[in-house]
Amino acid sequence: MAVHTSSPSLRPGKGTERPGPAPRRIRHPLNSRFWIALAPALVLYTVFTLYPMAQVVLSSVTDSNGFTGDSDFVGLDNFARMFTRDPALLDALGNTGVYAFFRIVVQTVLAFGIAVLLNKKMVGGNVYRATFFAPIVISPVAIVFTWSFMFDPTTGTVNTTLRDLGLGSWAQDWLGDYDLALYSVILVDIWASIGFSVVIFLAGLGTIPSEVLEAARVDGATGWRSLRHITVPLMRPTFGLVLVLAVNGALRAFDTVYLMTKGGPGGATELYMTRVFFEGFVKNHFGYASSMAVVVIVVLIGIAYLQNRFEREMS
Amino acid sequence: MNHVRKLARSAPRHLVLMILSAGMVYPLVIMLLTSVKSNAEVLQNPTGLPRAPTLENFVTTWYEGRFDLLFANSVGLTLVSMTAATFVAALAAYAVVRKATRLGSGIYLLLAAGIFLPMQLAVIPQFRVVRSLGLIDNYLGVVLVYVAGSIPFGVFLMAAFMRQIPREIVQAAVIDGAGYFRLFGSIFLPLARPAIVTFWVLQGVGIWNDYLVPYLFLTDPEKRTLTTGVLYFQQQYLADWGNIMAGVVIMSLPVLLLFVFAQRYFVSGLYAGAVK
Repeated sequence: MAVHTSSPSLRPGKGTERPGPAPRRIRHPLNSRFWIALAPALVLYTVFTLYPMAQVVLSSVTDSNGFTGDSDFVGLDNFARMFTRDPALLDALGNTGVYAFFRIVVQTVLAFGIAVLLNKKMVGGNVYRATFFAPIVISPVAIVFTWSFMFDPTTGTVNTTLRDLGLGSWAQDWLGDYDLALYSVILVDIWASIGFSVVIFLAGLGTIPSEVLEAARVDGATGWRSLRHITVPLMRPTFGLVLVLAVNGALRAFDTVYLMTKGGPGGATELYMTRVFFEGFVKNHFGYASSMAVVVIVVLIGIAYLQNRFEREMS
Repeated sequence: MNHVRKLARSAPRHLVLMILSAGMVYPLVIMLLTSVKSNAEVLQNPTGLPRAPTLENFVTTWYEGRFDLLFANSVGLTLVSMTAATFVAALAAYAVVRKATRLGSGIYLLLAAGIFLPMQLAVIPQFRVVRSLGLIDNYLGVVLVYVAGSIPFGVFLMAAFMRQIPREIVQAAVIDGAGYFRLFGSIFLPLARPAIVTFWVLQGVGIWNDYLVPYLFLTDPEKRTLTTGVLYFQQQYLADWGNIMAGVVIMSLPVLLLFVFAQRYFVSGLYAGAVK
């Protein structure tokens, strides 16, 4: 997720110092209790997070298959292969680009519009909000089955509705058509995650002082003009955050796509992450999958760094 | 008069919101409607209201899919994991907050930095660790993976909150003779309750909905959770959409109810999670 060092809470505070006098006497037992309190978290984090992650980084320069011990050092060969000898990965990268474009542009614009509309006390406001947020709490498994049912070419609700409206010629095999499947999958993921962007935009809108908008109104700026000249410029940091999260989401997108289409038909919905999973778990190319993973980690860190710098320049 | 004008001015806003909301709710409505139609009716009438609403799907799905078992497994695994995760993370957050030294902040940064690691990428070595500990097909392995995965965000969220606790309260408790762990249990834990509840709710929903960890680490059918159970159920009942949707509703209803009652915690938690 995004680095956000400008938020004060990320820095360790100096709020509660070790209370009590005579530090020398107390130091020893206090220290051991400090380690006792930390031990469960530190041990679990090291064993199940840091160690596996270190394994990923180390394996990225080997031909490890992931399940048996022996592997050979292959240098940067895995990385060279990614960019030169893996057409399936390049196709997946293209799909990821299309996917990212929709998640970044369409979802962000739509979510911003929804947040602006919701950012007002009104009758039914909570009901509207709940409808946008509800999909966030539903399991990918439930989302995938519901949408697979809706997209079913013969008995699905989408095609049935089109036929009932006399638009039968628009009926499609939404998940089985090579040119359409990717867009169907994107639609599902936008539906599932747009509430998340709305939450962030609403929080950002909440930070705009009402005096500023009031002053603009007195000066005659209302509606669109106030939105364009006051709200949007003041929301720039929030836009930055939503964009970073969208890029993040696009690079990590996996659950829905994998469960719904397994990357098919014919690789049409293959994304970067589904390739990583396929190489690692199906083909047992753990070394190669690890180098793909390392590239994602580097890109994510790079994006977080850029966003950080961008924000520092803004303030 | 004023009232009418106000209503007329807000009408376009409501119209747009209603259309968008309807689009958002539509899949959920389809999910519910399909679950109360017989499998035969679903094929003839996939979009409309049920002509003969029935709860039969729930009964057959519950028994044939052994949902009593799946439900109990999911409830147990989620409750134990989220409680253990909250306790471990809260204790670690307490330790780093109380230790206002370079060591304390260094450990805090080490733990919180885990937020940036895309852990889906590390499932293969994680699998190897769990296997070498002999914990495949053992709930303990899954609980430990969940707890470990929740530590970075948990420490971040709860440490931020615990730092706001006024020093005077801490000092007063120390003067009254409260020891290190006593102070955690009777001052820090209760005062950090909003952060703890937020974390608990978010973590609970995440674990309840997760399918990858149980799918990889629990292969014994007796140990499946609702998510993996519904996945297998669908493979057996391919076109019995009524039954499948009943399973999906059984799986989703608890989190949707939790969401309705805890929306406040949920939204604040999501926002905290986003700006991390």
